[in-house]
Amino acid sequence: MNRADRFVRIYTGIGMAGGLVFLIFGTWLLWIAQSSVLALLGLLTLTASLAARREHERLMRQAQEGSDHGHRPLAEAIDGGGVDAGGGDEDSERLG
Amino acid sequence: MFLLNFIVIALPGAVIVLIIAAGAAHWLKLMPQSMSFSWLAIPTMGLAAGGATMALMVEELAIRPLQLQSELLGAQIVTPIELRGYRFWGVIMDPGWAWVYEIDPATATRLTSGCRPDPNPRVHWCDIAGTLDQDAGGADGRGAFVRVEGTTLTIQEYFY
Repeated sequence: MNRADRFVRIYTGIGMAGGLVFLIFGTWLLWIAQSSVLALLGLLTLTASLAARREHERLMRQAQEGSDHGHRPLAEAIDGGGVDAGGGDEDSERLG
Repeated sequence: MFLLNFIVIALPGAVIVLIIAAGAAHWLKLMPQSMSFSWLAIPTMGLAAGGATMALMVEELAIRPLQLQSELLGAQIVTPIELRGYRFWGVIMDPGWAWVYEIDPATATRLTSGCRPDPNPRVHWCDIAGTLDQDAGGADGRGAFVRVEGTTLTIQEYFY
């Protein structure tokens, strides 16, 4: 896992934890002051963080499947000095 | 009060945080190439707005009553855990706040031990502390009191 993937994982983790904390205190606020602002914010943050995490995992899985089929994963290619147009060159070499 | 704080303070602040975060993510290349920062826009705004709302909530429900207790009673007799109600009125003019706590009967008895029964039979509460500050003309001022009725303790502050 590269730096960018780690960042997204940590960031969405913070979002989920923060959303849960807001939801808990928001429920208390709803009970005490009849204000749903914090509870709704918590729910929104939690849901959006979960959606971002799922999307990131889907993209990582997609990249992994790509590498299993003989392609370099995009993140690995970026870490290794950028995406090259190697596929085309290989094809050209194979074709002779 | 919390909705007003959210609209006036938390939401504009969250937009500023979002712009800074998007700039930082782009500049520091924090996002994977295959993923857009827009996926993290709502979590960023939610964290910023929620953090601000929570800070304002702590100020409103814990710190202000604590300061009022220190001012009126010289000690903290109730904690935010015992808080059962909060009211706010007068957004534009003559604002007021009330915090309602549920206290145990022993504390209620101890606090009201110095109270004399009110001549009015309909008055069942006891004001255990209070203050009234007026300006020279008497038109504007601030009042605050701590009232006990049964096992309910109310702290109130108002401006007029």
